[in-house]
Amino acid sequence: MKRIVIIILFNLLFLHSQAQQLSGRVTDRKGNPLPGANVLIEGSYDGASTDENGLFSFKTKLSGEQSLLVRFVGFREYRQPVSLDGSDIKLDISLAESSQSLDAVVITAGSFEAGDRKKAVVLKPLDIVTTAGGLADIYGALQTLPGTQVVGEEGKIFVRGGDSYETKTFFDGLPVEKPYYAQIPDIPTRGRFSPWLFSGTVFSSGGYSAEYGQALSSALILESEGLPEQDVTSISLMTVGLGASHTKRWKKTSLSLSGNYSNLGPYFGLVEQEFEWEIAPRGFEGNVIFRQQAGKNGLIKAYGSYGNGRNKLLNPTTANPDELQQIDLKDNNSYLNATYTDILSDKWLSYAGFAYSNDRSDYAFDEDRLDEMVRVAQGKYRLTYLAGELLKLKFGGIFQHKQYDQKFFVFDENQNYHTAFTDNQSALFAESEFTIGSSFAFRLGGRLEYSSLLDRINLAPRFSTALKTSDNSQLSFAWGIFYQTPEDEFVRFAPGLNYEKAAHYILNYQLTKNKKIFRVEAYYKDYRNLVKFDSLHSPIPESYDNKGKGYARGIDLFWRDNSITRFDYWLSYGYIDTKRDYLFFPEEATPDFVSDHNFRAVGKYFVSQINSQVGLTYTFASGRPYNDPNKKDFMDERTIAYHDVSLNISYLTSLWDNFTVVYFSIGNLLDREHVFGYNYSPNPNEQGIYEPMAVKPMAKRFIFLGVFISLTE
Amino acid sequence: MKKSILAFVFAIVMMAGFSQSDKYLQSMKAGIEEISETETHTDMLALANRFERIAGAENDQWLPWYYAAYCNTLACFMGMDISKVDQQLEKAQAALDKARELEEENDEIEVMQGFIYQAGIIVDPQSRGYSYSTKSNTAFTKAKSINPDNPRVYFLEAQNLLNTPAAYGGGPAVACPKYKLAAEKFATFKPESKIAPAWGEEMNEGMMEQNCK
Repeated sequence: MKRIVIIILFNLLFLHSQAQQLSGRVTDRKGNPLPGANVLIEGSYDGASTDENGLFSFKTKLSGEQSLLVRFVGFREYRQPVSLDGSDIKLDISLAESSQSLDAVVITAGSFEAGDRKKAVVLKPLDIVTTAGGLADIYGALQTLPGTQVVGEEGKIFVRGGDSYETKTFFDGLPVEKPYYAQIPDIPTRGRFSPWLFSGTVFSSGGYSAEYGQALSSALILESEGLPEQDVTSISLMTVGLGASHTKRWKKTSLSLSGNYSNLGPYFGLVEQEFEWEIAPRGFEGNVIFRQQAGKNGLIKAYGSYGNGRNKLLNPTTANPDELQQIDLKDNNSYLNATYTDILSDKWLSYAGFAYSNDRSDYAFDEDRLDEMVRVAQGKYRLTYLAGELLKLKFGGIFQHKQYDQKFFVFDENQNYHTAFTDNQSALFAESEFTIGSSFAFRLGGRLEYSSLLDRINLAPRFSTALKTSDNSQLSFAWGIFYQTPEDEFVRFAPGLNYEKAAHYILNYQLTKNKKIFRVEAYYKDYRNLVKFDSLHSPIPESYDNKGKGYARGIDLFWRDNSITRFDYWLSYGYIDTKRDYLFFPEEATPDFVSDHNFRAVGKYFVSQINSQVGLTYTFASGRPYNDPNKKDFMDERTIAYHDVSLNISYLTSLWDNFTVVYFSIGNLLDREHVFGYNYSPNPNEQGIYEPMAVKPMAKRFIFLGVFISLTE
Repeated sequence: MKKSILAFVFAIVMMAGFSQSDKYLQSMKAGIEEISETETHTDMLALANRFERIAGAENDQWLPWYYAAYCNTLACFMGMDISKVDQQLEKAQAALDKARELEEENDEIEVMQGFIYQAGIIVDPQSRGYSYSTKSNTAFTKAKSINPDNPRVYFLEAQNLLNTPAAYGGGPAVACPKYKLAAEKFATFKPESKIAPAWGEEMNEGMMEQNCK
C-alpha cells in the first residue's frame, strides 16, 4: 500500500517537474507572419501569443496526447494533435483565411449594398436620407448611383436601358406590387416606404440571386429594422404636411404607430406651379410596426400600412394643347408584410413570409372614369443550410395570387369596358454559394416559375463569382437569365403572351483602400420576347405579340472618398448604348427614358461651427430621345441636356431639450429650364404640322423645409 | 492503515484541486494587474489571448471571458489600425457572449456590452455615432436596472456624453456631472472578489481632470 502512495506522489512530482518547450511560427497561406495569434494546448493555461515575426514559444508540463489550438481573428481555427513526451517540439503552422472575415471576397457584380460593416459596401444606411436631391426618397437617393437614369417626369427608377416596371422592390424578401404612389401621367411620383424603415439595402442593377424573380432589369432588396433600442416619440412639421410617431419597446416586443398627413396646397399657394391644380396632392397615411422576439433566436416582424391620396388638376390634352382636361385621381392602398425568421439549429435557418396588398386607383378624365383594382397575396418559405464555411445552400418557394380588375367608363359612348384576370404564380428556387478561403467564391442557382394566366413554365439559371486579386481589390462576374410576366395592361387583353426575357452579363472590378472605393462595371444585356402591339388598349388578343427585342451595353464608374474628416463625396458616371424594338416602335430605337451619358457628383460636408451638414448634388444627363412626327426618322431627336444642382442643409439642434433636426432642401440652383421630352398632337394642324408640347417639371424648383423633433423622456 | 492511506490520497486530490483554483486566482490576478500596465495594442491583444486561454481551461468561470472581451475592446483605443477594429470587436463580442452564457443578468456584462458598442463608434463616428451610442445607452440602462451602484456605467455614460456634439445633447457641460456621479459611486464601490471587475476609477479621474475644470 505504501508503495502505491509513493508512486502516486512520485507521479505527481514527476508530472510537475517535466517541462518541455513548444515553439514555431504561424503564417498565412502565402507565408506572411501573423502576429498576435493565440497558440495554446487546448483546455489548459499553457500557450503564448505570436510576436511580430509570427514566432511563438512556451513551456508546458502537460504530457501525453494533447491538442494544439491556434486562433487568430479573420482566420479559421487550426488544431493539431501533439504528443508531449518530454522532448521539445517545433512547429510551422499556416492558417487559412476565414470566409466569415470582414475582408473576405464578396460577390459584387451588379450590386450596391448599403451597410456599415463589410469592406465591399458602397453606401451607408444614412446616405439614403442625407443625399441632396434625393428628397429622403429611397428611389431618389439610388438615382445617384451609376446605371440609373434621370427620368424627371416619372420619379421612378430606370436601370440600364430597362423600363421602370423592370425594377422590382422586395420588402423583407417579398415582392411589392405597388412600390410607388399612384401617378398622373408626366407628374413624378415617389416611393411609398420611408427610408427609416430599413437597416439594410441592396440595390442590384443586374445579375441577382435566383431567390428573386419577375424582374427583367433590377432588384431593390430592402431589409427592415429589427427590435428598436428604446422608446421614441417623434414629430415632424413640414411645408408639405405633418406627422407623428411613437415607438414603445418592451423586453421582447416593440410596437410603433405613426400617422402622416400631407397637403401640398399651402406650398403651391406660395410657389408658382406649371400646372393648374384644383386639388393639390394630399393624403393620409398610417403605419403599424410590430416586432416580437420568439424564443432565443426567432424574430417576428410585421408591418401594416394604409394610405389614401387625392389630387385633381387641369392639364392640356394631347389632342389640343389649348383644351384643358380635368384629371382627378383617388388612390387607396393597404399593405401588410409579416415575416418570421428563426435559427433551427447551428446549420439551418428558416424564413417564412406573408404579404397582402390591396390597391385601388380611381381616375376621372373629365367625364370618363377608370377604376383599377389590384389585389395580391403572397406566401414564401426559405431554408438556408450552412455546411461549414465552404458551402451555403438556400432553397424555397413562393406562391402569389393576384387579382386584377379594371372598369373603364367612356362617357361619350355611355359604355362600360370591364377587364379582369386572376393569376396564380408559383416559383421554386435553389442556390448554392461556395466560398473557398477568403479569396474565391461562386454562386450557382436556378429558379423555376409557373404562371396560371400565361400557362407557361420558365427556368432561369443564375451564376456569379468573385475572385480577390489583391488585399484590396477583387474581380467579379455575373450571368443570368431573367423572366417577367408582361405588364397588366397587356396580359389583361392577351393572357396568351409569353414571359419577357433578358440575359445579363456583368463584369466588375472593385478597389477599396484607405476608405476610398473605386469600382468599374461593364455589362451587356440581351432582351427577347418583349411585348409589341399595333395599337394600345386594343381588346383583341392577336394585336399583341412577343416579337420585341433589344440590347443594352455600357460601362458604369463609381468613386467614393471617405478618408477626409467631415467631408464625404462620391462621383458616378454611366455610359449606355441601348436600342429596343418594343411596344408601338416601328423599328429598333433608343427609348425616350435613356440618356447616353449620366454623371452625378454628391458631396456632404459637416460644418461643426453651425452644427450642420451641407449636401450638394450635381446631376448631368445628356439629351433624351423623342420622336418628332414631323420628321422622317423615328425617335431621332434629342432634348437639351439636363443639369441640376440641388442643395440640402440639415441643422442639428435641440428644442426644449429634445433632439431636433431642421432640414432644408432646394433643387435647380442653376435656374435652368428642364425639358424631359415632347408630346405631339395626334393630328396635324392646318399647316400640316404636328404641334409639340414640352414635358416639364411641376415647377421650376422644389423647396422643402421641415422640422423633425425626437421627444425623449 | 487503509483509512489513513485513503485520507492521504484524498488530501492529495484536494490539494491538487486547491492548487487548481489557486492557479486560477493567481493567473487572473496577474493578468488583471497587467492590464493597467499595458501600453500597446499588441501587448493588450496578447493579454486578451491569455485570458482566453484561462477561459478555455476553466469551463465554468465567466470572468476570464469578461476580461478577454475587455482587453480586446481596450486594444481598439490603443492606436490600432481602424480597419481592423470591427473584427477585433467581433472577437470581443464573441467572448462576452460566452461570459453571458455562464452568467446571466450581470450588470458588469451589460456594462461591457455598452463599452463594445461605444468602441465601434471610432470606426466611423459620423455615420455610427447616433446608432451605436443608442445601442450602448440601452445596455447601460439595463446594467443600471440590475445594479444602480455600478460606477463603470456612469463613467462610460459620461464618455458617451463627452463625445456627443452639444447639439445632440452632449458636451462637457452635461458629461461632467456624470463623471462626478461616477466618482461618488467609485468611492463607495466594493468589488465582490479580488478578481471581480474594479476598473475605471483612475480613468474617470483623468477624464475629470482633463475636461471638468
